[in-house]
Amino acid sequence: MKLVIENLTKKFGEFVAVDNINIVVETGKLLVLLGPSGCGKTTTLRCIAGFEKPDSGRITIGDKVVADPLNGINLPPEKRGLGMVFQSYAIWPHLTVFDNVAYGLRMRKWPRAKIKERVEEMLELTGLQGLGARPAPMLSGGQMQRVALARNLAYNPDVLLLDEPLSNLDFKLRERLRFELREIQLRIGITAVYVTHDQSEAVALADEIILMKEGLIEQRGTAEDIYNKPKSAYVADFIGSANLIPAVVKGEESNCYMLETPEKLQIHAIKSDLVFNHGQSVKLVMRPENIYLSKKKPDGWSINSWQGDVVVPSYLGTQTRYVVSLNGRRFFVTMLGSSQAFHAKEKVYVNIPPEEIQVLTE
Amino acid sequence: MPDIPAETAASHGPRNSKDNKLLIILRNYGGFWIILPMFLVLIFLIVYPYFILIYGSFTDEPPRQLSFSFQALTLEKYRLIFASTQFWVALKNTLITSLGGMIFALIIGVWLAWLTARTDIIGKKIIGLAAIVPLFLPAFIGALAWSYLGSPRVGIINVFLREFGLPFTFNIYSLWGIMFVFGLYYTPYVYMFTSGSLNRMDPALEEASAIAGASNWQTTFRVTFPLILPAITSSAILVYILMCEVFAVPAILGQPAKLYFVPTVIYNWVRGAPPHDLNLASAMGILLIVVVSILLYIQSRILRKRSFVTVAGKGIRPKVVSLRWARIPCFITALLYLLVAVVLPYTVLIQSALRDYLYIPNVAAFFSSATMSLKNFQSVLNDSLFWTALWNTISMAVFVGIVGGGLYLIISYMIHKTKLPGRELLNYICILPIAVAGLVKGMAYLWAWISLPIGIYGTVWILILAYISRFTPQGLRAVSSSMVQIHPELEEASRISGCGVMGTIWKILFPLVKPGIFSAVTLVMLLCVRELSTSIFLYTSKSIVMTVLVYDLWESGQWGPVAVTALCLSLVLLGLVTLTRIVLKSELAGQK
Repeated sequence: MKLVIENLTKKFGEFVAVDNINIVVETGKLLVLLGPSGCGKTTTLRCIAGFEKPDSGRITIGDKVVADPLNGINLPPEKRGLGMVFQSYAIWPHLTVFDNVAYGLRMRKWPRAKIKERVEEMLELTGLQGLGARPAPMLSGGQMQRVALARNLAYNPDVLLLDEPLSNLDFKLRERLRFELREIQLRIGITAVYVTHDQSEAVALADEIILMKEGLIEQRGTAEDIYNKPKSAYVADFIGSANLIPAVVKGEESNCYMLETPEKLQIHAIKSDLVFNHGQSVKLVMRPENIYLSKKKPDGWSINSWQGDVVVPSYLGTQTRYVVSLNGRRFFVTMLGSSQAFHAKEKVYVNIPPEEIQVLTE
Repeated sequence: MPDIPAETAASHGPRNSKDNKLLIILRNYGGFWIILPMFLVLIFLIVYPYFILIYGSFTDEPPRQLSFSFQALTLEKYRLIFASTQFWVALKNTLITSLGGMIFALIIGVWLAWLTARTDIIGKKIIGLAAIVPLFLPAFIGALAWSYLGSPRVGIINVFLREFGLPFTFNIYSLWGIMFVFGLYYTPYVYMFTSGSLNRMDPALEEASAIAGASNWQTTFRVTFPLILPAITSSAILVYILMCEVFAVPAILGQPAKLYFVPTVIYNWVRGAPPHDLNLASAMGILLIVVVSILLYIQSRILRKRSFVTVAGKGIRPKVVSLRWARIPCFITALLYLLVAVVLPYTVLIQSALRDYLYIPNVAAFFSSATMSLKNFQSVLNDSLFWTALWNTISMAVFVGIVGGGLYLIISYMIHKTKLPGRELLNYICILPIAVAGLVKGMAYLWAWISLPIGIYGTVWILILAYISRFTPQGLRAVSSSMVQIHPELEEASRISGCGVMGTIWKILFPLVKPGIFSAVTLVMLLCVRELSTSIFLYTSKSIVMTVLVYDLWESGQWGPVAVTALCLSLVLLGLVTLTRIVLKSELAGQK
């Protein structure tokens, strides 16, 4: 069901955790709230869930207003028809897997036979067939999170909330569950809000990402938008790794800005919607995978090609990451492919296409 | 700020604005009405008695029904106390014997803790048990038994010493004797703090020291002991406070030698030979509270810094120090403690319960069966007072355990699981009783509740209320320790699944916090059965309890019945502890 958040504000004493934000999640879409700890993403989620009472604003699920404190509306969590998966799994340790999954159905007074049928169905959906009788503490972390998912999907909630659900799992399991989670969400077509601080999780799961900073929305858009067109150095730095280089605008040349770094590197960058003045200090954003290293200066490159030294190569199998020094400025460079082309202390050319450089205000 | 100003937003929505405003007020301030009754209960149980105590110490009048005259406040009682030599002598005795007892308890407690936690000694389970068994028998029974063992003329030890021609006497009726008994019976607290800290310590800290080239002994003294020092210091302060406050031990061992202590002086001013002066006694009680509060403050500062020790281990057993040839001698030191603290006292209790006469002239008489009989048992069991006391002790313990346990559960829920206004103040009120000695509490309840027209004086109800009030800190801590372990997300998951507040408490919180409730209830029951110093001001012949009966019999010099009653009291305690263990075990088995 559609989730609409209007002008939501939540303060803790003087501290403004969520500052007048607006969010719309269309039916069946998965929204990721992304940001570092303390950015307000979890508070937003807990306001939707009903665990925090907003100071002002309105939250609507479908056509039901669940929170509008200035009009005296603030439904308790149990009246909101939501599901929520927690970081700690929150599997009730005194109940079996079956009882955990059946809990919400019993609250909704389903008949016994239907509960049994539904629980079995959910266990199958989440790959937990045959574990119904098992006491909850005897599960692995991954299994617990599957139980949590089954428990919340069982009663068909209007919106599914997920609060860093995978962050307590190890890396491999995290990747696998991420795909399963997305697959299940797409299959049943449930509206979902997913909170995480892990940008790779956000990029892999989201229909839309909202990146938050200090209670405000810093940028919203598809994963691709945010990755390729960050609006600020903060966004660029948070999503994926990025070289953030300070520079000063020295001039314009048709569709390019000419810039200079403190290390006297002359850099050309394609103009975007943003306008900069001569002499203005800016930040340049370059993705490591958009920088090319070569032994010789590539043919036809007159600009954005400099000679430097490989400081540290780090071979990672599918790719090799390099730290390269140019006039003392360090650049991170990623070269794809399973063979390592350059070695430490080697002289290399560092080439950056002007269209791969974003110019942003400081 | 939202686009719509707050005023407009509030006014354009609701149709029936009057109703809605009331609802908003209830939602916003409803918490106040929920927590208010709890505050009233705690004000009655804790705040009001202590207020009366303080008020009483500044007046010259006995308590009357809630009539306060603040013009009559005077410092006269404090002036009298500071001017009396009795006070200074008693204070000196209290502070010095507590210090000696503390050092003694520290030596044994740390030694036993280190043996069990960091060496390859044999019989670790036995030592661990030996170190906590004295906790279950009240120190004053130990003191009674030791007065019989170590009194200078008729004490069994001295009879033996004379028999073997040894030229010295062991005098338990002395500062040294009291230090000795203090040390014996407060060792378990030091042991529990220290071994707890040793077991929680991250073994990597000690392993790192070994890697750096330190020997076992160097590691022990340069890493292990410095790390557990905060735990040791804090347990030292705790036992020091307990020794300063305890009434029965210095009363039993000090009175025969005319040695007076702060608690015994307070007792004498209230219940001893006339003239009585309750105002003077309250002023003295307040002074004791001040001393204890300072010590508690120091302890809390020390405990705040200990976080670096409590790194949770990964279940790796720490490296142990090899005792080699010293294993047996070290084990014997632990047995020796058990012998002196438990076996000897109970031997003389049993032996004198079976004797017609107190006096044992020589070693042969000690072992002779000629003067043995069941006369003491007959006289005690035929006395209806004994049965009244037994019934009162057991029924009150059960009642207080259940009702008090319920109260502590509700308070703990409010403090840890809600955002009710004033819940932190609630917490502060609940820990207040820690700073007040049992005897002083008894005096406070006596004054406070006598002056109320509720007619509970002389009934068991005054004792029941006193116990519920007195054991609030311990009971609350027991419930809370398991309450805070329950992750709030477990309850939130239930709420989001469609279950209301009360349903969540019943279906999720209550089953999970049950072990904590159980341990709080049994702990409070145990403390009730052992309680003497508060009851001693509040009982009448109808509401007498076992501990008071033992003390009364001792005061009137009936040694045989004292031994019998003390043994019965110990049996009640033993039964309670055993029952607890059995239930706990089956509870744990049920969870698996």
